[in-house]
Amino acid sequence: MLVLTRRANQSIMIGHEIVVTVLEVRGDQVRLGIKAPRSIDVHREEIFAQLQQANREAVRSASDDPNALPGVPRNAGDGKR
Amino acid sequence: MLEIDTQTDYVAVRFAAGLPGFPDARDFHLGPWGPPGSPYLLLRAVDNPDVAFVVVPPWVFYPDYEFDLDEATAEHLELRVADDAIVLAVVTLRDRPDEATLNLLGPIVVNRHTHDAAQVVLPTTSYSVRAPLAVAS
Repeated sequence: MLVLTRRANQSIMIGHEIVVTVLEVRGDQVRLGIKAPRSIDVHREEIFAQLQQANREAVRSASDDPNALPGVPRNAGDGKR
Repeated sequence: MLEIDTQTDYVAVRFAAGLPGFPDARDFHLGPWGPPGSPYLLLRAVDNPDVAFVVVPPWVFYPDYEFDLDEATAEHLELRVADDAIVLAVVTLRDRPDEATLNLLGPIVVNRHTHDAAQVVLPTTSYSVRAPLAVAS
């Protein structure tokens, strides 16, 4: 793993387009600003892992019979607010 | 909802960044799913029919569901007002229909005009990736 030391308001470049800036260091927390092109999504790792897992479960389940769909509440609208 | 093409029965949507767990799946077809009048839709990857998600507008089950979309996503999807967005939640079906769950932490947001889409992460909310459907209804 590449290890770099940075201070607040200093940045690193990842490739030509991704800029990670240290905004603030306070105690054991670091605030980062991330600038990335639209094809790159930026996520907290632990939450991203949860989503990956949930999506894989969902895809495995989606091939099932459409009759297995849960019923919807009687007062359900079209979901628009 | 999106205008579904009556000839093809689906609308093409594009996830420029893929989806978590499926980074290479970008182009999807979104079409009706289930019996007539069903609020469910099927989101199927064009290149890989095995990658398919059952989705539903979250408000069908959780009428009070709400979130603030982060600025970066709004910018990427070119959403100017809330009404530009269509929001869908991914359903995970289980052995029994009443065990199905809804991913409220990672809703899918589609620009209704451009059909650009992303699965967004709501880190500042307490919504679950496995919210029960049965309890909600």
